[in-house]
Order: sequence, then structure tokens, then C-alpha cells
Amino acid sequence: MLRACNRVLTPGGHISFLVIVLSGESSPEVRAGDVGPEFADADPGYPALMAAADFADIVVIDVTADYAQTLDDWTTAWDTERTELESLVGAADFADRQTRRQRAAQAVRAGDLQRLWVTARRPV
Amino acid sequence: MTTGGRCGHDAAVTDSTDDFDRHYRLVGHPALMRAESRVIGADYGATSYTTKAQADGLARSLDLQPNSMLLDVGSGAGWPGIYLAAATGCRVVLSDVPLDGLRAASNRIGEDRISGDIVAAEGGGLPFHDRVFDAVTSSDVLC
Repeated sequence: MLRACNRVLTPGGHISFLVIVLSGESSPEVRAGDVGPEFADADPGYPALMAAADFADIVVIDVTADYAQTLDDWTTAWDTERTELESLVGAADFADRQTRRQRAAQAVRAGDLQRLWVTARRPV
Repeated sequence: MTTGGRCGHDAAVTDSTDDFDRHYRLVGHPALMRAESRVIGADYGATSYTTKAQADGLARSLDLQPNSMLLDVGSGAGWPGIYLAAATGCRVVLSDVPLDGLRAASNRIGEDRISGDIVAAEGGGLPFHDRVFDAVTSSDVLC
């Protein structure tokens, strides 16, 4: 996919994206996708991966702390709108979503998940 | 990019294209939009964790200008691609698989009167000519 992005960029064009990856020795539940994003994979090493896709000026920033906060904020915001949202999605779905958010936040704080911000440029 | 799902999106929302479509069909519901506004500072039916502050950072890192052409891969209902187009004046192409997300995005493009198009496509097979975009972004899709 990164090569496809490089192909469609003009020379000198920029790519900037956020991605969630498994970090360290993630728990089996996280690796299986039962907690957090189903399709997250181990950090492939974005500097090398981007370089292999012919990008330059590669910068990777860890924004995991913001990710944890955003997960907490979603939980709080849904609790605030609980009556209407339960009516909208159903009580069981509401409860399931909240539980999954809380479990994902726990996994982030346990160091099982990371969110990275990757920027780079197609060389001129 | 996966076929039926998207890497890092809200674990509480989605595991498959059907889940995404179910979520996107709710876009516009007042309670959902209020919650999203509290969390990320916008109301596009987002399924990523990108906040408004991070979206503004994306605009800077992509050096978006009014004459820029931006591609948002895995755009969902248009966050942050449509916002970036509205904020910078650039033209945006939104690409994703869930059709209900693209419908919501199309509606928002019209409501916000921004310059944009939608394309149903997976990230690995971007159906575009070489060297046509000045910037590419995605939120919690690439893995």
C-alpha cells in the first residue's frame, strides 16, 4: 500500500498518516484482535518500510498517550449521551462498545498497543 | 490494507465492512455527533482516533495549499479528509471500501461545498494515474 501511495504522489509530495500497531509482547487477546483493532499488526519498523517504498525525510512520532486519552474520552462522551445512544444502537450494543473501549484503553496503558504518526516525502 | 476491515479504527465500532456500514448509516444522529464533537472536536462520523488538533497537524505536515490535490485513503465518512479540504481550500479525493461511509462523505462534501470526489477502492489497488496527488493521508488504516 505504501508503494501505491508513493506511485500516486507527485515528486516532492507529502504523506502523513496515523497507524495503530501492536507493541512489545502484546497479550494473546490483543494479538487475536479481541481487544483493540482487529487487524493491527506488529510494528513493521516504519522508517525502514518507508525507505523501502522510496520515501525520504521520514519521521515517526509516538502519539500513544493521545490515543489512550481519546479512548477514555469516547467512553465518557458515550456515557454522557447514554440514553439517546442506547436507544439508537440498543442497550446490548451500547454496553459492548463501552466495554471494548475500556479494554482497549487498558491494553494501551499496558503497553500492548501503540499509535504512530508517520510523515515522509516522495523525493523530487 | 485489509479487504473486509480497516486496521486501527474504533475497536468499539467495527470489525468488518458490514460493521462500518452500520456505523456510517447512523452518521448525522444528534447524540452521535455531539459525542464525536466532544471527543475529537468535529462531527463527521469518524471511526479513527484522529483529533482536530492532529488533523490540523496533518494539514501542516502535508503542506496543504488551496491548489493542492489530497488523497485520503480509508476515508470513511470524510474525517479528516473533508475537514482538511475545508480548512485549507485544497481539493480532496476520498477512497474507501464501505459504501455507506462514502455516501455519508458525498453528502458532507455537498453540504460543506468543498471541492472533492469519492472513489470506492482498496488502499493496495489505488485506481489513479501516477503522480497525481500532492499529498496522501490516512488515519488508522495503514498497517
